[in-house]
Amino acid sequence: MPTLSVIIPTYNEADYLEDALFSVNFADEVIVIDSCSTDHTKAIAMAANCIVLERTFDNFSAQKNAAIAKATGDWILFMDADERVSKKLKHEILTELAAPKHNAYLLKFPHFYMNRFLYHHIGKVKRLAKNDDLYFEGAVHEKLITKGSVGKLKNYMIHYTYKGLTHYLKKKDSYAWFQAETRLNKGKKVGFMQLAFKPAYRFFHSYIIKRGFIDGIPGLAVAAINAYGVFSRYVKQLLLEQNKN
Amino acid sequence: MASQTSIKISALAICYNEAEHVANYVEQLAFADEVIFIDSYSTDDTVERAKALGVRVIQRKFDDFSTQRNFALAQATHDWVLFFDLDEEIPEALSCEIQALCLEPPVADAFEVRRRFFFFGKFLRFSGWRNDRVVRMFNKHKAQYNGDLVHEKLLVKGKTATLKNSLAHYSYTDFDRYNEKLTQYSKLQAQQLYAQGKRPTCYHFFIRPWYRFWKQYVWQGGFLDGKAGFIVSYVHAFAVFKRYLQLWMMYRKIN
Repeated sequence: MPTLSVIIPTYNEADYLEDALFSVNFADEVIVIDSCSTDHTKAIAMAANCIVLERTFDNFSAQKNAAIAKATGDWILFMDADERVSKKLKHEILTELAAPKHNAYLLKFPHFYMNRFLYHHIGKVKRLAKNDDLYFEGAVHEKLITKGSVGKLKNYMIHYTYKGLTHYLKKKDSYAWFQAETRLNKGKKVGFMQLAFKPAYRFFHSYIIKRGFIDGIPGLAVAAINAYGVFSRYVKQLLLEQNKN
Repeated sequence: MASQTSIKISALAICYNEAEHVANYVEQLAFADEVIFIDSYSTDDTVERAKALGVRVIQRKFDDFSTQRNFALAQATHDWVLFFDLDEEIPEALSCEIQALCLEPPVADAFEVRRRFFFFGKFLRFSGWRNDRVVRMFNKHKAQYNGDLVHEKLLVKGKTATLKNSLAHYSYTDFDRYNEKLTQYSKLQAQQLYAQGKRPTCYHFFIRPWYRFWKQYVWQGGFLDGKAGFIVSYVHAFAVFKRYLQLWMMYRKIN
């Protein structure tokens, strides 16, 4: 049986971490890489016998890459403190790792939002991979780069992104700074095309194409707030260009 | 704060975490006979800074804007009050105009000021701020705030005159803070609608935000303000959406 390492980046996740750790208690090692939390995140991780690394946050990729360097398992599962491996997913992972057909796997994430799961908002993200020359790139919405073929697991990873509306909006606004910076560094331009049509398209994509309308008001809220997130990104790029905040 | 005026003036303000505006505010209202701040327990050094400059600071838990402002009116020693916001910049000319007014018997019970809104590095000329007027000087016995939780209005019993000089409004300091403020306002508005028993419908979610955008960007000429006009129209339309979203959430006990 190949061994499994789990990597969890954290920053002030005391309320969420414990359940996340419990959901991966089948792993051979859990590495918590903490960006100098000011709450008792680290104490919780230590009490659960995790390997705790502390590192000043620069970007999401560098943070996780630092943890990869310490991982000893044959496979690595990446998750956030607000995510939980469901029971079914746990069995699927264990079965798959016993006889792997691929080098990496995509996991499915239904969105938990405003006290319900939005099944029409399922994301698939590469989160499970063989510990073989793998790394993340990109400052925010980082991408895992692996070798070989990529498969897909059927069962869900549970993701509690929603911690109140204000928190959600703030998160969008802070992500937008990262994305604006990335765009600026790539020398991309911001015009009315970006300010007006990109958010409109994001709304259309989320609400109509991905059928967010079936999820009722929360589906509408996700679409509108995502569109706002896109808008905010371009506004922030303009601000960066003008060197203001 | 000696005064050579015939009318005695109380300068009032309500504040929460506005340390960076305190010194400027007190300096530009130095001609008033007293300055009173009603602070809703700032976590920065707003209170310390104000006290050091001789301001009478009273702390009171914030419930809504109208109540807070009416409370401030009750604390004023004098009949005539100046009630500016801390993020408002009073130009020299406006200050002179107000001081000149104080020398003679007042011609009205309240005076309103035109306000220019600074957003995204410039003063917006359109986008809904073309005719932004606010009463900032009045006789406290002739006026009360109306009880709206946000965007409270001063109800004046008597004559209102408009001052010649305008006021610069710096409520926008940075984008995230401005948005947080709009979120805060939309929540207060949702609470008000909830208290009135109003329920959000499709019209509120799909039409009202668009209407707001259309009104600011097209009808009020926001497009003439360039990208700043588009941005300000968008964030305000989004705030309308947040208002009804929060109202919907209140009925379902979701936070």
